[in-house]
This record gives sequence, structure tokens and C-alpha cells, in this order.
Amino acid sequence: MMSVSLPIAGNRESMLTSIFFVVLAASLFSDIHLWVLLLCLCAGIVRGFLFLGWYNHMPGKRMVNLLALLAGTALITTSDGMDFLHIMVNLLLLACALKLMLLSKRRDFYQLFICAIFLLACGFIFYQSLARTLFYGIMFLFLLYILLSAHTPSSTRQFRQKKTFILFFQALPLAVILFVFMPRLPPLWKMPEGKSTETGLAETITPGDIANLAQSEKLAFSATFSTPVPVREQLYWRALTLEHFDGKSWSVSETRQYAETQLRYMNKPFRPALSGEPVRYEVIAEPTKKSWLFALDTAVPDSAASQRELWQGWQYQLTSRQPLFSRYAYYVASYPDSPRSQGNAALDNTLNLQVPERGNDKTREWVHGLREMHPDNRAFVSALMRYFNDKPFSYTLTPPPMLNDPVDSFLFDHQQGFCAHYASAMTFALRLAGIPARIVTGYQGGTPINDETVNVYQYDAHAWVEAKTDGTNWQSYDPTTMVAPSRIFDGFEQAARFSTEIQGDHPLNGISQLAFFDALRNMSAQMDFLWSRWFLGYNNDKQTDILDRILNGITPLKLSLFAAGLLLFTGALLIIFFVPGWQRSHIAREKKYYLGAVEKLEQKFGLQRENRSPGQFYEYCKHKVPEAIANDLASLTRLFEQYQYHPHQAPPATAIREAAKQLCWRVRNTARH
Amino acid sequence: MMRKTFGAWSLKWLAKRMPPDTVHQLHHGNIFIFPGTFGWFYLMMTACLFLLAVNYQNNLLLFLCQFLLSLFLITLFTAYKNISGIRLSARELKPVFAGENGFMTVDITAAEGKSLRGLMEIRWYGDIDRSTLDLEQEIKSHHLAIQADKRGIMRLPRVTVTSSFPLGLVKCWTHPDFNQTLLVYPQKKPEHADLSQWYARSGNGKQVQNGTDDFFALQPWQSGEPLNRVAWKRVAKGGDRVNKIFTDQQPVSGYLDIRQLRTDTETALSVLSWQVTQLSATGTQFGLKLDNLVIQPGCGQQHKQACLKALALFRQDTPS
Repeated sequence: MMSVSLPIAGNRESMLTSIFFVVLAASLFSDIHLWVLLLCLCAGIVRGFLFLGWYNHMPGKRMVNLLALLAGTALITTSDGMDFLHIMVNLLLLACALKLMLLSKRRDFYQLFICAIFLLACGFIFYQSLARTLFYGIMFLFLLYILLSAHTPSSTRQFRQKKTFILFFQALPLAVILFVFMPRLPPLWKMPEGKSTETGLAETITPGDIANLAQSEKLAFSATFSTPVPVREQLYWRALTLEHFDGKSWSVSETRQYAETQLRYMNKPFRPALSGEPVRYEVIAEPTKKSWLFALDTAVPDSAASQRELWQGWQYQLTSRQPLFSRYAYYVASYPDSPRSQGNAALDNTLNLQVPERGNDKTREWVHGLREMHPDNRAFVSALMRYFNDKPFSYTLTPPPMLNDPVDSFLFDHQQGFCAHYASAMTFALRLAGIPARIVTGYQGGTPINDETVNVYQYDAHAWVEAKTDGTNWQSYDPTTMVAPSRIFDGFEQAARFSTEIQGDHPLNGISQLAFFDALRNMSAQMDFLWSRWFLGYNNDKQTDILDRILNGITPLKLSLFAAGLLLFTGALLIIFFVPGWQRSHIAREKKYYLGAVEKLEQKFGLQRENRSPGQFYEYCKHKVPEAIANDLASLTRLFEQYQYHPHQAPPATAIREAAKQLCWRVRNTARH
Repeated sequence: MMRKTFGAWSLKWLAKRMPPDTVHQLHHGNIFIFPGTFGWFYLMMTACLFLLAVNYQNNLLLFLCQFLLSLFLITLFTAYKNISGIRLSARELKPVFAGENGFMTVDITAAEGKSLRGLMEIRWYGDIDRSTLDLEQEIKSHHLAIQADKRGIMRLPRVTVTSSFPLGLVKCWTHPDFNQTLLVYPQKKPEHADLSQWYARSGNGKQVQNGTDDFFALQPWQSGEPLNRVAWKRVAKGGDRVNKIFTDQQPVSGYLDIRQLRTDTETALSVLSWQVTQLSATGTQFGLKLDNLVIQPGCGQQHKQACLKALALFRQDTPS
């Protein structure tokens, strides 16, 4: 029972708690305002001064309340456009920092503990890499240690550490059992999508914008193939189709979204016609806070859980029913040979022939001329592609801004850009020529990390064109290949590495060119992948899989028996932990040997040692037992007394064991007299 | 009203479950165990985290929740194991005067082969005042103060002993009744005793009284007499122990009689209480008459205690 109020100066737990919060705030620095971090640091410093007794006055309640008011106002004014969770984290840290300054009661201490756990949980939501998880795990242990210390203030540090570890490792197996076998619930309500951070994809692309392509080295997803891995130039991972063009930006069409919402409401998913051999794989997607997913070509969900959780859109796009706030694993089968000819033709054509009323006049004229030369759709497309190839177009990641009539200035003035520029220009041209076309964004390629797994990073983001050249089937075209084939054949990384005009801050220059760092990177990617696959991606499918393997076919009876078995197992675990009989007694070995021998003697001759010392017991037995036994007892007693009263010249335990054995043997082989 | 009824009922139930005894060994029959306030908040927090984990479909968070839950279960057992086997025993209480505080000392001893861990909170059953005892310090006993306000024999209430080791999530407590009584003497009210009238009536001459003022004589020492009057110089020289006798200029002994005091009984008892202590301090011989109860004149500690006890129990219905 802690006392209701804690001392201030020299209180170890308050100090440790403040250290914990400062470290935690520092670890969350990219998710919190700088001033919140500074406030935490201040609180830590104040606490340090109080702890050392250099400063004897706690900040007044009134002052801290004023500070809270100020900080709250600051938070409201500076948190524009932050999502709810981040605002909550900031608010919690703020409150904790202020509470730390006032920490003087048991209740405050407990409140801080609860908030600390909450903040750790938010850390788990924001970051899920293996390294971060380990870090937060250690922080959690530290927190337990603080809590335990508060309840055993005067025990030694070793005891407290040991006890914390004991509690931790006793709870761990139970938690693992729960994790592996507890039935999983679907989300209880639909979460709103968050603002996407650092992703190579967006629902709107504006090729002429000053904003450069996101060159983040972060992982987007990993795909593990159970069939052979397709070659790189076939790895076009679809994510979004952009069907609306306003002259500058391409975005997801609102009409399309409305139609999809209605279909979803009626629960009418799209069922694509499939043909040819499937490519099967599992995707583990990083959290994007959005619900779009990645898959190759024409893809369908490939497992029971994925079928429940995925939605097949009418524009060959897979989405999840929930935004991805955590790593998410799903199974997909793709049929690259299926013609993409379905869908609502009327809607598709209307949407994909839409062009803005005016703007980009040069392009309109040029397309008009080109179309007259090539009335045939295929010929027109080839001519377009040839144009990119013949003219001095170049691929660059840092094109100049093209703010007015971006397509015009790209096609005729600058003639340099990245995939979005090419895809945008081509799609616009096709639409002007009366061919339904749209931009597909997603990722292209990927880095193999082992024989069946491909890691796709944010810098692999790509945009290409899909058009109905023959009037019925959607076909993919990638104008970027005309300009920078290496982008497709060797992957973005290679292309960027050997491109002469890479920005200095590009993640892939310098350090990563060393083989050693490459190996390291690959290793950490592997580790993270395994972590994702077996822990973060553990879902209903895998749970069913495990149960199926254990039970050899799931039936309700087997399942209930298994559940009962698990409960029994848990009970057995608790018994092992807590029933005293199982505990090692702390009697020294030497004492055990002596007492064992004495017990044998007592039983045989009906003697009672009671509370006699070894010496007294020998005197008492001397004349009541045969001489040989008395002699043995004498030697044992001598050794044992030496051990007990002269520790520095104690005989080895083996000597006592031998003497005890000798005595027992003799007692056994002596008849009662 | 409800609370009163419930309180009475629970005390009755406790009396059946934990009969009074000076020594209590804690075991599953007398330990209560339940989440404390912090424990409930902790569980609520775990539930909130579970909601977050399910909605964000976050396995890490889910595992954290399950770990927190398992930890709770483990602490439940650890807490119980920590205090089971502990022996609580109470020492006899010294009598006090009404208005003073009586102290009951509770000793805490660990079970065989275990060491005491954590903090323990001890208070009277239903009392708000609580004090914390650190079981890992040297002293493993605790003095519980109780206000004695009425003369007579006071039956001490139950004691509540609480521990929330290891993490404060669950509380283990017990309400032992140590079967102790506290003898409360009447409050002292100063009023000088005039013993001369009794002397005049009883016709005894002036007696030598053991006092403190003047040296009077040496007497052979008898066991039980205070050592501070032994003539140690003689003992050091190899002589026998001899008591130095001092005298006071004292009136002769007589009886203190309750009927002589013209006040109500309680005030009279208070006055007598003060007089008994005064006279004992000066070493005067005196007797005590309370209605039919007569205590022959004497002096010394035991005599004083007998008198005070008689005063405390005067016309009390409770059996002593």
C-alpha cells in the first residue's frame, strides 16, 4: 500500500517517472509539437531539481493551471489539420508534463501510469517496425519496474528488477496464448480515413506542380508469392484509377465514388471474369490510413478472411472495408491473362472521355492533326508512343514547374518530367481523340528480399495509362518506358542511381552504395518482413490455419474440447507459478543433507531431535544407538558444525553429503535393538 | 439506514468467519482480495485499448491489451501469495485514563521461509485514519492508537490490514479481531484529599510513611521493592542490599470514600482517580471504599492499579 502522499525531494519513483516521460516524448518527436516536447523536458528538469533538493518549492497549483490553459489554447491553435489521434497524444503528453510538476500524491502517480500506458499504445499505432516495438517493449518494462518500486520502496534494486522480470515472464505465456487463440473481432465501427503521411501515392496528382515526387525510402508493402515471382516488367501494382481531369490535376472521379458507395450499400461487389493461370501471393501493406490496396492486374481475394474484408471495385480496384491504420495482410490471386472488359460501359465511357472545356489549346490542336492522320485507334496510340520516343523527351525527378496549361508546356516546351507527366499527357491526348482512357497509379517493380518476397518501397510509385483502344477491353500503356526503359527494367533504384541529376538529399545516394550497408539494409528488411508476416500480419486466416493444423479439421466439438484444454493448461501454468510445493525451498544443500540423515535416524530409533543443536543431539543419541552409527553421526555432526560455525573454513558440500549418505546407509542396514 | 444495517450485518458475518483471537494466521479463509480503485481504472484502460486495437486492427496493441490482462491475473495471485501465511498478533494493552489514547501493538511475522515484502496499511475497521508500515524495515510492529472516552472496559474493534503488493492493482485485506480489551480508568480531576478526618475517626497515631523527603533508616531489601532506593555503596563494599527509607511529612493513612464526596458519581470517581494517583506517587498508605467494596489500605504499584480498576468498574454492568 503506497502512502497517500509521496515525498518530493529524493523520491525515486517520481524521478524515474519523469525520466520515462522525457524519453517517451523524445521518441515521439515527429508526432508531437516541438513545444510540447520542450514542455516535457522542462517538467523533467523541474522534477530533477526537486529530486536533488536544489529547489524546495513545487510550482503552485494556480500557476500550473494557468500554464495548462495557455498550453491548451496553443494546442488548439497549432493543431490545424492534425488527426484526432495525434491531437490526443499531444494533449496527453501535455497533461502529463503538467502533472509531473505537481506530482505529490499517490493518485497522481497512478494517473501518470495510466497515461503512460496510453501513450505507449499510441506509439504502437504510429510505429510498427521491429526496432520500435522492442524499444517500446523495454519502455513498458521500465514502467512496470517503476510501479513495482513504488510498492516496495525499501527493497534492494536487484530484488525489484528480478521481481519485475518474474512478473513479466509469468504474464507473457498467458498473453501469447490469448493472442494466438482468442477469437478476433472485426472493427466495431468504420473509422474515418486519416491524412496520409509520406506516401508515394495520392488521390490527386498534379504533374505540373512544384511538389516533387515523394522520394521516400519507406516500405509500401511486401508481397510473398506462392507461385513463381513474375518478372519485374510485369509487376504493375494497381492502387487507384484517376478518371477526372480539370486541366491541371487528375483525381478520383466523384461520380465513380458515388456509384461505388451505392453498390457497396447494396452489397453488389464486382465479380471479374477470370481466365488463364493465376499468380497467388500475400500482401502485407504498411499502414496508409487509406483503404486502397495493391494488387497486380485483375485480382481477386484469395482467402475466406480476405473475401470478407476486401471490396472489389468496378474499375478493377481492390479496397479494404477499413482504412489501414496498421499493417494489414491479405491474400490475392491475380489473373494477368484475363481481358478487362467488364464494368458499366456507359458510365466508364462517359467518365473516361471527359476533358475540361478549355485550356491546353496547343495539345488539342496537335491531337486533332494526329487523329486525322491515324483514324485507327491502335495506330493513333502507336503514333503517340512514338512521339515520346522520337522527340528529345527526358525522364527527370525534378522537372521545372508548369503552372499554366501544364500539358502544353510539358509536350512542347520543357519535354522533361516523370511518370505522372507522361501518363497525364497521354491520357489527355487519348481522350481528346475520343478513346476512353484513364490514369492508373500504384507501384511498379519492387526489390526482391528473398526467392519469393518482393518489397515495394514508396519510391517505386508509378503512374501509367489504361485505355479502351478496341472499344471493349481496357489495355495498359506505359509511356514512361519510351523515355526511361531502365525505370521499368532495372527498377527505380538503379535508374535513380545512375541518373546524373539526382538531388543531393535523395535517400539512395552515398551511403547505400556501399555493399556493406546494402547487406545491412537487406537484413533489416528481411527481419522486418518476418516480423510483419508472423506477428503484425497475424489475422483470422492464420489463426484458422493454426487451429486447423492443430485439430486436423475444425469441428465445434473439437474446438470446445480444445478451448477446455487451453483453460486447463492455463490453470496448470498458474499452479506451477504459485503453488508453494513447486517452489525451490531456500534451505542450503548442506542443511538438507544433515536434516535428511537425522530424519532417518529419528524414524529408525524413535528419537526426537526437537530443538537441540547438532552437538546436543549427538550427545543425546550417543548411548541410544549402536556405536557404529554414533561414530558416523559424530563425523557428520562435526562436519556440519564446521560448516555452520566456521564459514571461512567450511568443508565442501560433497563431504557432508558423503557423511550423510554413510549414516543413512548404516541406519538402513541396522536392525532395531 | 441501509449502510448501518449492512455494517451490522457484515460485522456479524465477520464474527462468524473470523472469530476473535490474539493471533491470526492469514490464509484463504480470511483474506479478501479485490481490485482497488487503481485496478479498476487499469481494467477500464485495458478495455479502451482493446477498442482501439480492434478498430485499428493493430496486433501490437491487441497483444499489449492481452498482456495487461494477463499481468492483472498474475498480480492477483502474487498479491495473495505475498500475504498468505503472515501471522498477526496483538500485545496486551496498558490501561489508560479516559480522554487519553490507548495503544494496541500489532506484530507482523512472516510465514516460514518467506520474507515480508511491500507496504502494509493498518487501521481500525471502518476508520478513515490510516497509517502505512514498510514491511522491509527493521521494525515489524505497529502501534494503533485508540481514543478512550469512557471509563470501564472497552472492547476493541476489528483491525483492517491491507496490502497491495506488487503493483497496487489488487488489494488484499483482512479484518482480524484480536480479542483485546482496554481498561479505562476514570478521568482524573484534581481535588486534594484530606485524610485527616479518617485518621481522627480511626484513632491511629501518626505513622511513618515511606516518602521522598528525609532520610529515615535502612531496612533489609526485599524483592519487588524499587531498586532506586538500594544503598548501592554498601552493596559495592560487599554488604547486603539495604533499602534507604525516606519519610515525608504525611498525614496518616485512611480511606478514600466515595460517600464523602458530595457530587455525582462520575465526578466523584474522577476526583478519586486523581487522588489515588497522587497518593500513590507520594507513597501514602490509603484504602478505598466504594459502597460495598472495600480495599484495605496499602501502597505501591499493584495497590494503585487495583484501586483504579475498582474505580473504572464501579457500577458498570459489563462483567470484568
